[in-house]
Amino acid sequence: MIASKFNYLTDDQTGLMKDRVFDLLAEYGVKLDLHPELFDLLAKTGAEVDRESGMVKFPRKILTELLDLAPSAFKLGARNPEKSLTLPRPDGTFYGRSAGGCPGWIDPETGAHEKVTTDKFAGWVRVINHLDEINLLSMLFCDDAPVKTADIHALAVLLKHTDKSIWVQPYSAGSLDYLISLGKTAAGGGEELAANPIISMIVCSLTPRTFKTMDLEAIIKSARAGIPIQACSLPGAGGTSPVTLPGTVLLAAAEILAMTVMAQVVKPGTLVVGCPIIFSTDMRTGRSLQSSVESMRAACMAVQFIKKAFGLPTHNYGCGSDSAIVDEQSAAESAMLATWMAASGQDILGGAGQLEVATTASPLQLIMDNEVLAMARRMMSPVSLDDDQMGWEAIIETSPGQHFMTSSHTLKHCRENFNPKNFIRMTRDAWERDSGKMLMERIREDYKRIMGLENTVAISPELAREIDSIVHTADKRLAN
Amino acid sequence: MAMKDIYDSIVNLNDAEIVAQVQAELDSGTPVTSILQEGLIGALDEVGRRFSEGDMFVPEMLKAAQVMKEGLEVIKPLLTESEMPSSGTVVLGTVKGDLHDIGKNLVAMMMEGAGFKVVDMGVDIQGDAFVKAAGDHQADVIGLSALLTTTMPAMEETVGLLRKAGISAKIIVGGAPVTEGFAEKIGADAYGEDAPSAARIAKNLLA
Repeated sequence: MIASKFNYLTDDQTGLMKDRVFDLLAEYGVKLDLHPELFDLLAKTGAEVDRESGMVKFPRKILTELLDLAPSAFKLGARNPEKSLTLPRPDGTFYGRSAGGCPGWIDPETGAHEKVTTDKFAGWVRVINHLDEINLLSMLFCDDAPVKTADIHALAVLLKHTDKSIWVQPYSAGSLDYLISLGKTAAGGGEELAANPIISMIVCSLTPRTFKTMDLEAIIKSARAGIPIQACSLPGAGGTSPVTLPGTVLLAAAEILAMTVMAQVVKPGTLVVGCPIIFSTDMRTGRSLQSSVESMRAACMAVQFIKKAFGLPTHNYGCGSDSAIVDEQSAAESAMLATWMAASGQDILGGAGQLEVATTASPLQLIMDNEVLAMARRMMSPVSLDDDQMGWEAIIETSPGQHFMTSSHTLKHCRENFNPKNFIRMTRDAWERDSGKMLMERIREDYKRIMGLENTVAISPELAREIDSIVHTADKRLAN
Repeated sequence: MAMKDIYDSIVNLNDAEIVAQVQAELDSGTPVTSILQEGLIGALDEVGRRFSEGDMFVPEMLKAAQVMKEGLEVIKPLLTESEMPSSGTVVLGTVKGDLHDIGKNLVAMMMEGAGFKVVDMGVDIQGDAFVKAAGDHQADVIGLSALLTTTMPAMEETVGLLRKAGISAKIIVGGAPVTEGFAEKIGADAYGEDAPSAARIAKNLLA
């Protein structure tokens, strides 16, 4: 069941767009970096492969057959199996993901703009361990790690410090084997990783319609290792994709479908999450925007299209802001994004804590986003229309003009309302008496409180040594 | 007034008649340099003014530059080398390891619109290739682009190679992960936070 509360696309429109996606892939195709092994696999399934130019066309029949092999429901595992993500979420809501890839950092105490370091990242992960709405963690770019193995170092930090599910972003083809090795080691072995995939792998197109060697290798290696693939298309409407939003959705969907079918060619049944991570281009400056109205609209359309037309779980930004600082704009944009993406039925809302178009991470924004996600998830919770929920007995028992405060029905349900942690509900007088603190100050205090909590997620020293050994080997071979 | 028509065609992004309008003005005896300065460049200056005030957008500015270029082609054979408008030569590229080019392409178009001759080297360019190109083309400005945080060291390396080779061209760096602080740290002459500002910065550096 699609848990969307509104529809951007009618069924007819979905069908029309699906026809166009198939037209694009069947008649015009995509361009792959030259990859003989993948070309062989694709040609065997009936794809038309031009081995000189790298252009690959997928006949409609192939697209339909291979898409059918991609599961619609599955789990993203976690070191603590209770923290696995069941997609789609059984309660009809969604999961949250933290910001990814940011090299910038806003110090939660001073507000200074700095670079992410390994220590800061480890602290970030510790905060996330205490945030219930962040279920999937991304890597940040640590400035103090060797550039060529920054992804490997970041994954090591995640594996050591969290037992939640992890989203891996490879930075080079050379990193892939080490990233997968880290995943296998932390899971307890290759079979264990396939059975409980504690990591899922980002694979990206280079929009429009191009795929680089690194991502093709990521598809092949992840599929063979049983690691779920998060198939990401990152179009910029007006820049790398059509300025009109359905055009951007069409292109993103086609690229995601191409990655999905390539994964099935390598290994049928490979788990794929469709990730239309859509940007718009500011026509005044050429800059990319993640929280513009255009980005949100296109993302809503894309999410709904991919779910209906492809039957894949979906993942995109669902938080974050184009603002460079934590402020009213970052609050408003993040809240809007969370609301709209949740309402469109997206399965994973990503980007909690990210600012400046996903280039800067802020722990304060992260904590605020956690609360926004909680509210959005409550909005999406399924509604039951049984007599208890309709308050039938309470209505009958309460005489006209009387109240419900003392009814047994109210007593039964009075603790079910959402009570925010950092958002206040006081009168102005009460607020002034209490502290007179603004939201960010209250969140800063919450951050300090969280950082003071015991770190209950730990791995054995042996596992830590194994992880370090893999990182050390990677550094020796790749970074020197 | 044919000169006004030329001016209006550019400002109103109308490419249908620009060639005929310029030819008509030529045929009427108007000096070529007047057509160039008052009609073509004057119109583009107005476009630039409107753009900087937010009244025109990037695609419109690019279209205006294209219309102007079509008009310029008509009079180019009649201009001496010293009369040909040129803001300088820009060598542009995305640094080694990075395949993203949309930002670079936008900068290239904005630079052309601003009157620069652009040598676009493409993507994934080695540092020494930039050095060679800068020498071969006698670059006035070198623009380095990176979208990936992981390729920023290649940007630093390229700047280092350019300095070591004694290339006197001004170096502007830009791209999503690049900051002003980073530009300063690696010894670039300027940081371009977006495509329109890159063209403006290039002109200022050469002024």
